[in-house]
Amino acid sequence: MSVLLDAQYVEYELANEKYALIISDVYEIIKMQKVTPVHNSKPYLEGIINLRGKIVPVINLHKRFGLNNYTVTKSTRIVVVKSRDEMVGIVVDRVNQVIKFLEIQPPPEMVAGINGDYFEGIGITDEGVVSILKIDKVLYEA
Amino acid sequence: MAGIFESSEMIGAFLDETEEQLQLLEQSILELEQKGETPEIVQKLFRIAHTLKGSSSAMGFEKMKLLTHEMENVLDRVRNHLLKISKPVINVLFQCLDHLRMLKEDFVSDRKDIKTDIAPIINSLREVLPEKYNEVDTGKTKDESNQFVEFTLGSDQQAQLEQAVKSGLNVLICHVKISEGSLMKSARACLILNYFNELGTVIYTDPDVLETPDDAEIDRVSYLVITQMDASTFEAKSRDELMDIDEVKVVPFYGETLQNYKQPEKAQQKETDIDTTSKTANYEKRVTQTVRVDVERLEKMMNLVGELVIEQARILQVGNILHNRYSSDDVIDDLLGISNRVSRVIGELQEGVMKSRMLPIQQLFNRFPRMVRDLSESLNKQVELILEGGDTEMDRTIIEEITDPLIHLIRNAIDHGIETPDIRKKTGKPLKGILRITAFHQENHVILTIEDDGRGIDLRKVKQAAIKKQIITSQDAENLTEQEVINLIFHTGFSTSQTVNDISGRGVGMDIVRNHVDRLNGIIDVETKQGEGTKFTIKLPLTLAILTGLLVKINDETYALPMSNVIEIVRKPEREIEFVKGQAVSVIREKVLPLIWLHDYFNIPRRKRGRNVFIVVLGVAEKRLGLVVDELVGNQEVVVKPLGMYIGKIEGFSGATILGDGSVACILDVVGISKMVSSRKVTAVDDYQNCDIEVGDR
Repeated sequence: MSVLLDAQYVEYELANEKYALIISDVYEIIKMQKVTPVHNSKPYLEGIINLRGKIVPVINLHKRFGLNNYTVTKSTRIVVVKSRDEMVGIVVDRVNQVIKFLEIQPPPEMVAGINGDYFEGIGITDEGVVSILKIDKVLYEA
Repeated sequence: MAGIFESSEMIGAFLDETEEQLQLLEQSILELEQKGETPEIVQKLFRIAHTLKGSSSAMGFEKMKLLTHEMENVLDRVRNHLLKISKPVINVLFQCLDHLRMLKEDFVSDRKDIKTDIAPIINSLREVLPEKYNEVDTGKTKDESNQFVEFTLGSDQQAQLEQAVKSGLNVLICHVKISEGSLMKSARACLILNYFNELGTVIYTDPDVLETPDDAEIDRVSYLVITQMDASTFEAKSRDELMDIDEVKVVPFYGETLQNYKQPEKAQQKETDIDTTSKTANYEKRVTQTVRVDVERLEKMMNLVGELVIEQARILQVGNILHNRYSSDDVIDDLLGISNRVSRVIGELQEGVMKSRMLPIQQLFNRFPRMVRDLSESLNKQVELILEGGDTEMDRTIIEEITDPLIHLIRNAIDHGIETPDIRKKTGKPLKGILRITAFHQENHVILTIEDDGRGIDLRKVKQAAIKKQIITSQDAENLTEQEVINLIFHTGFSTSQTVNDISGRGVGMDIVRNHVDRLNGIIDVETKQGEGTKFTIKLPLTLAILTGLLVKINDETYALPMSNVIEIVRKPEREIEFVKGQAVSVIREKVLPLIWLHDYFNIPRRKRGRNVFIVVLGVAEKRLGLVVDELVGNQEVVVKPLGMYIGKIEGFSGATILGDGSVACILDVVGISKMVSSRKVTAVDDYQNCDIEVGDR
């Protein structure tokens, strides 16, 4: 856990819950843009975007986790992560800050109604708790 | 001790060169068989064997060196008229070619372990020699034939030679033996000189006939002549028309004889050597001027150019927006001007990069004559192969992909199409069947046709076979149009061949051809007339990396369709859409086409229709279908980008592209669409059986 504790995290919000990704996974953060749908693909695939000439798939975590329908607002962002040598965008409601955690606890069975397996752990800050996502698992496992 | 010859570059270069030489060898042997023996061909064969011997010995490839050495011996005899070219000799040469191919394959798989046994072929080579193989003897013949070829040329003559070679003239050496009984031999030699000067230009004689005293006893004179004629015509002509001579021998001035030709500069010798043959073997000359480039590098360049194409489209679009916004600003006019020029340069760059990936289809054509020869021989048929458009250029990946289908179609034509000579005789056809393969460009496509004048496809048999194999019911069979019946041959596992032989009928059939054409976004069409022949037409895109796409809108989503799959676009009043058992169809050019609304498959609402609908008639391999779209945006070059591993392969899409405004459009894959359409309507499959095109579906 000490490696996790030393690292910096990008904290973002999804349906009013705080989540985080380890900063080394995050490639860049861009504003929400027009996403071209790819029909007949994974159900939570929002579509594809053009990231400086590269086609990047964008997934919708709301759909992935079965959260309520979301609406795109001014603060909606796409967090582009690098996973298995490929870039994938993740739609989030807002990106808050880059933080470090005081303490990280192993995830409980369920986190905000989501299977605990999708999380590295729960990070503790002065302002409350943040769920740290296991991005590979979220992207690749059903 | 890993020497330089162990390095992968050297091995690669060796293999490439060997492949080239082997192809050339095949071509030359075929030429020898068809046109008979000429000094040029023999010389060419000799040179190939020699080149292979040299490079294989440099690589320490003993077996290949030994074999090519033996070939050289045989060819040397032929060259010196000690051995006549006959059927057995040609067969042995073909065997040599096969063995060399096997050796090369062995070399590729494991250099340390060359399995091919060359002893039998070496024996066969020695058997065709007129006398027992004898090293000393070979040496002697060489000396004899070349004994009076010693030219010491001045720089003038060399310049003349070069000039002649460049303008495509032949340089010949004429050895003349003046009759014993001839009086005033040197005068006779001068007369011969005059005569030769009528046929061409004599640039050198040995001995110098103009300098020798009248009474000198010379009986052998060699003339170096520049002429338009080839060696054999020249020889025949002089033999007929010259008087007082015992012997005339004319050989082209190159190859081995050059070794005796004392030239100050070695490099020049090589140049003359190559140029002399350039008339007959342009190929060789070109090879020396090219650079081998790793395909990956070209691939990367192609990608970068793709990026440029996209960015350029965006710059133009931004420029136009700015122009509208600040119409009075000169700077923006400048910007648009620059943008136009850049766009032109990018266009040329793109074309250049694309061309660098292109190869003439001749490479592939070269493989056919041998194949056709062997096939027709084993089937006791007579086939004349006509190849047209060998210089048509195609992307190398496409050439690779289309090789198997073409070979299959050729086999098919010879095996099933062209009849045996006795049957042809009975039906009043010439004994020799004709197989014509052509390639040409049409707009942004390559068209390949494979046409035979054989018996054609027996539609009745096709129907019966299809019913027997339960591809269609006998009831269906009644309703099929002629074209639909023909298309049945593309059905997986379909074969009309009654007997299984080793050439075709191994359970593979036209479906393989169809799959390959599918994969290339190509279209295949068949025309056949019973008793008159069959013609296959394959239409392929020029390249796979950038394609001309037709941009269409389905509801408000933009999609790109490969132009190569678009057959035509029609606008039809909605009331002309009919339904056959629930499937919407439309009659276009007297063909019933099933209509597809992708909206239904993508779960997007159909737009409220106007009075007319746009139907894009799509074709893939032998299938045709009509796609109903809401709007036609236009066509443009689109750079194909993969959807990536994460999304993976999705039926109906072949990739995505970035449009001028920076947005992304999916590229529809017509094969996938037709699959998707047929697989999703599982419950309505019966309806499909009756409707056009879908018959013979997988």
